[in-house]
Amino acid sequence: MSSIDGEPQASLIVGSELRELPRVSAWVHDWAEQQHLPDRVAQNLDLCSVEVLTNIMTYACSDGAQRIFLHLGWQGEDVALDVEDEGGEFDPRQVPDPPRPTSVQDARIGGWGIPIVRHFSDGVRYRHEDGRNCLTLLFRASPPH
Amino acid sequence: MDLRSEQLADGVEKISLVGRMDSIGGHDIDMRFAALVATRKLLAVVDMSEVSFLASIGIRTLVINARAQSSRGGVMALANPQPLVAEVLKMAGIDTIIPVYPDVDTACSALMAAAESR
Repeated sequence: MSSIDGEPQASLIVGSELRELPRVSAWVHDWAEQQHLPDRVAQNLDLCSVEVLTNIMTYACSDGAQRIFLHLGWQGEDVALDVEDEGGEFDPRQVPDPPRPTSVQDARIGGWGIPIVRHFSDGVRYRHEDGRNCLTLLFRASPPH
Repeated sequence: MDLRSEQLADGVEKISLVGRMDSIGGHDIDMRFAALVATRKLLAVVDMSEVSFLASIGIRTLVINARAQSSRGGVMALANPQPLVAEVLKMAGIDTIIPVYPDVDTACSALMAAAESR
């Protein structure tokens, strides 16, 4: 499924494999361009979607056989990115930030995906419904008139 | 992703990364990056100017290689990250443990000065 030119909403279904990431980024940027989003918002959407999907593909749905459902649209002044998967229940809001590194020797090499999502989005909502993880990320912008 | 390396006249190894540093891009360069940086003592400057995107998996690559270089008694620095990449580095505190300079020349001078003062 792909977006329709100029539509205020778009949906995409991808397999749970990392090789799908370029397709998701292209979809995000296509929609952002149609909606005349500032580059900065498009970049934040791209970055956060890559982090969320990498987490799902690596941990929740790592067998590659499951589908991940994506939706982009407007909620008032915010762009909303919905990501739904059927992996194990996982609320990213409950994951604490890693400690600040004090040297290259003791720095954590992983665990920065969720902090990136928190930092580069303007809101994170989560619910578990009908066996699905339903994550919504919000990004402040202004809808086209 | 692409990776180019070049030994500069002052003995500094310049490593230029090009492209999106996500799990796909990282796969393209991780082996070559480690082969360059993790196997011998260096003054290494990683030119980030053509990295358009840095995901968490890229942080992992940078920290692993900086750590390997530190263990060998060398130093790895970053130069000229684009604004979004610089913000990711800052958010994770990476800029406090791997030095970040505005350009390659400044990075080279700083690494040379640090090496001489040891």
